[in-house]
Amino acid sequence: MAVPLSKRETCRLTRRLLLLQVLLNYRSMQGEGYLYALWPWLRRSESRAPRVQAAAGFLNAHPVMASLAVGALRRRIEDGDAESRADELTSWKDSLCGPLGMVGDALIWDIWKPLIFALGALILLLTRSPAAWVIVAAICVLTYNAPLAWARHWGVREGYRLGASVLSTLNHPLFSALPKYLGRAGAVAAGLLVGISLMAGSRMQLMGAAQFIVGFGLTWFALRRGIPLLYAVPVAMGAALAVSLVRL
Amino acid sequence: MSWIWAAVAGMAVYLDTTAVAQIMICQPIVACPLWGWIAGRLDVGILFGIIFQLLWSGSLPAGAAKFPEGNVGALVATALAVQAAPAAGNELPWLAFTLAILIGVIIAYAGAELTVLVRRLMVGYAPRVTAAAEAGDNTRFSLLFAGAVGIHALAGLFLTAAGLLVGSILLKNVNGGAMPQVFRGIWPLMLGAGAAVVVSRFARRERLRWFYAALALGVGGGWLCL
Repeated sequence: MAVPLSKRETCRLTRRLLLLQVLLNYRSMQGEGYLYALWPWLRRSESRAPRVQAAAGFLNAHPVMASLAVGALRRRIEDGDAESRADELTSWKDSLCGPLGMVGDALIWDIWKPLIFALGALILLLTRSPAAWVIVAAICVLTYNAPLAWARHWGVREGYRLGASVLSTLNHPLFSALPKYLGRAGAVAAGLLVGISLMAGSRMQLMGAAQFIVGFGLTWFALRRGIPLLYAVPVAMGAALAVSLVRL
Repeated sequence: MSWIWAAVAGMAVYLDTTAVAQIMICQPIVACPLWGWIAGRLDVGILFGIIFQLLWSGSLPAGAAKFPEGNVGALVATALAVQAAPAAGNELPWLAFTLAILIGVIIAYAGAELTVLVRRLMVGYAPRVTAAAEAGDNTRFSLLFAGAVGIHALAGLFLTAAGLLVGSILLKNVNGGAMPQVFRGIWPLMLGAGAAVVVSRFARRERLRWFYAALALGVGGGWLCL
């Protein structure tokens, strides 16, 4: 059994992963970002060239789930796979992209981020006071980042421990349960948001409610049809202003 | 001078959106009120923060996807709105706010194209970083990497500055108080548009009962509290 990654090295990899997407490009995607994360260790290692090539090759994952990939990649390069099994290492990296991308996107981009910040917007909508903003903004940023910082740290260690079989960690029931429960929380937040913002609009009498409904309806229709907000927003604005002018 | 600082703030927002850290200080409910506070109109910042936070809830910087740079657009719109807003206590200039929101949306989509350009530029740039690593040249590696951060920073700076410049010209002759009774409707309209984005993200078939229960609670609570 391999010796676990030292705390110092785990922290360094976690920290350097924050710059994973600086070199994001359409050829190798985040590839060179992994090279950057592993560079302090790679530059001291022997047979550097094949290891650098192995680290910088094509790989794309969600930035948080990338911690699993970087830990596993470090382990495989350390085991000499970059020199002895270069082709297999390349196809293994390809095989990581789908699962690590989909799980991270579905959980973090699709649910976690919009949920936290929509709730923040909802609370601000209710109060709109400067003091509330300071508290809401701080809580949102901390609530969003705290579990992700932990996940990054855990991912690096777990990836290093599992090496080539890193994807087996995604079989943990938590990865299927979290989207389900957070999705429900999102549905609750969406319901509260519609109800409260409709009432906030209605503070401006019937016309406010009508304009809310126009904005909601037209945007909803545009989103269902795949029409970008670039067109949907001006059209909704035009319709709402027309409603106001008719009233005048 | 304030537009230079706004452009620097836009640069920070652009960096945090994708390239650096992604700790979400770029989110509209954080960045817009922060700018409003710096510029002396926190209330306008909060208003725009809520509007754009909801509007861009569905915009995901996932993988190679092209996505609107809504956070930069939101900051540009806020900076323009704060510039157009008179002293606190007066009627808000809703016509100028409407135009600022439109400019913010356009800048967001222009930002999507700019990000594609930056990623294309990186196709040629990234192999130079790899070559420096293969050669074991740590100084060159670090300089090239810092240069890549600089490219993103310049892109953010340029996008924000261009948005502010065009926006300032367009809003220069707008009478802030024109027909406030008509343009005031932009607030509920944008709330409705944002709510639609959030609903489309979360209200899936299997979660509808949770959504409807919360909707009833929201209407009731809003009726009592607001």
